[in-house]
Amino acid sequence: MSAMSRPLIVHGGAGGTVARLEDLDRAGAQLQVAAQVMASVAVRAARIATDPLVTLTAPLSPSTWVALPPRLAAAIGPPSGAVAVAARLTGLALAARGASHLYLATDLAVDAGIHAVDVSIGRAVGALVAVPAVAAVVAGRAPASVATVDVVALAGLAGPSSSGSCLGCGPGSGPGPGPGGPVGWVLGQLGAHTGAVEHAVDATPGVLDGVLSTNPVLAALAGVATGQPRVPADLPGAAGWLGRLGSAGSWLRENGKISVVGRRPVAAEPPQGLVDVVAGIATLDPQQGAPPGTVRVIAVTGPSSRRAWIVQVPGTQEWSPLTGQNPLDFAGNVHGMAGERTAGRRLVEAAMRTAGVEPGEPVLLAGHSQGGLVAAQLAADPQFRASHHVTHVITAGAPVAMVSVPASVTVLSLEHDEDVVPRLDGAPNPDRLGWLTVSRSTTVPGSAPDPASAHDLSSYTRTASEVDTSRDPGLVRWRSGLGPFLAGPGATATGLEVTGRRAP
Amino acid sequence: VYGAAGWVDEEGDMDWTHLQRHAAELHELADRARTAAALATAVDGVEWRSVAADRFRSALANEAALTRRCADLLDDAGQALAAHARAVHSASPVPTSR
Repeated sequence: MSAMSRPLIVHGGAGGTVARLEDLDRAGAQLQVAAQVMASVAVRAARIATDPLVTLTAPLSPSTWVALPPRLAAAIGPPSGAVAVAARLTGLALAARGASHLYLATDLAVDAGIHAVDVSIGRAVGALVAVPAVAAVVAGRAPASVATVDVVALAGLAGPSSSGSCLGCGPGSGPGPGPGGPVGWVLGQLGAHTGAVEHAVDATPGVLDGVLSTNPVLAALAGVATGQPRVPADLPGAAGWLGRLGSAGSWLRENGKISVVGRRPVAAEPPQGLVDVVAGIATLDPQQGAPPGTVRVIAVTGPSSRRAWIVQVPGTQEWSPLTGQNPLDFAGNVHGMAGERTAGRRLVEAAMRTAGVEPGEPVLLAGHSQGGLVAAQLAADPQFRASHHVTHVITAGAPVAMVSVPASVTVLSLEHDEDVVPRLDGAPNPDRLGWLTVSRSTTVPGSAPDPASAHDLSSYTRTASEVDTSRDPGLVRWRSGLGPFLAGPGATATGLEVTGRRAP
Repeated sequence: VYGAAGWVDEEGDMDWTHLQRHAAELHELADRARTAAALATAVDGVEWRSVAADRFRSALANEAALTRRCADLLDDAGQALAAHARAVHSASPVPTSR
């Protein structure tokens, strides 16, 4: 079996658990309405049955009167009368709604419990590793620069998207010492255990807190630098804390400002499907000739002259933790995970403004890796949505689980099993009617998992082509909503590429 | 206000028209019950895949059928009341007093 033939797994959408719970809750609400109708019927029928004036007519026609009480009793009382039916419908409505609410409450409680366990374990691990690590640094055996190189090397796993030329990537990244070296081996292990990565990331706030707990001086300094005496227990909070800590030095500085340095009209065709939308993102890679920090805005004009917009946002292009000019850099990753308005988000806003996107015109935001995070966060931003009618978000290999995209926006997330990057949100994506997560294994049977190629856009483009032809009911329904953005009779397209630099 | 051959209610309706009004109301209530049954039946169009879905569907079908049965019973009571009203009208065509 080739990697191509590995099946798509679809979570959320019309077939998702929460979608079914929403169905159940809606059914319960509808039954409650029916029960209320029958309750009012019962009250009015009972008023008739107990009307003393009706009884007073008995002497005038006893033979017809005698037929009334049993019929009125049958219409009101058990087993099929209005009172009985209203009571039974109410019971069924409460059972339906109660079941769905209980399920959701249990689900949330379990989720919170898992996070608490992850953080507690992380805190213990952080405290354990802090002592020997600090001792080694003090003894001069582990220069800080070595740690920096390791971090950047691991981060390179999500590096230049379509070329596969990132650190640790390539055929040597299998298990054990090989051409890929230790980094390749580590990446292979990560790719094989991405679920563990999710928990490890979820535990990160605990690890940081644990490290600081062993050194009051370090904790005090960090508290002054970040303005928070303790590391926040949630992942976005911890990312923000880390960003502020780095910003106290010369790392991870993000001022959220950009200046547009290039505007380039480009030829464009209306996409035939998801595959064209995803493949288009790959051409924004600097290694494909695009200037660094470039996003593309495509206007698709239908036969009735109505415009729809597609915005394509590439992934991280600069992996140094030292802040540079490219808005899609490592600092953008950290501050983006914290939910802050990054330069990458500003770049997309500026590009849409430059292209002339009007309020009310449907917008599809598509992004790979950090670009996907930017797309989801813009869709979740009420201020952005006030001026842009975002209807769809497409993410490929992006950590977006913690982004609160409103139900009015349909989200499709492509996440390969061996790709570590979408796991960096530390949680599974929401399971709801308007959010589909499509996962697939990219590992060829008999070979080692390769997280680098799993994250590559060319790999996601192949998955996108399978989504285009999938018969999954959720995906069929999702595709049916894409009409305004796709090729059709009389549809034309124009493109604009906008390049930005982080302003000092 | 009662008389030997009948009465008039507070709205000024005669005994048999009072009964007819009740009969019409029972038919109207039957229609409302059919609306409620339709609401319950429409719920069945929702897709479920949960373990309890079959039992829930079965309960739902039962309640919808009972609600339709209730509508029929209300119609039946309405018809009986209308028949009684006609009989009362024949027995006391004119109220004796107000």
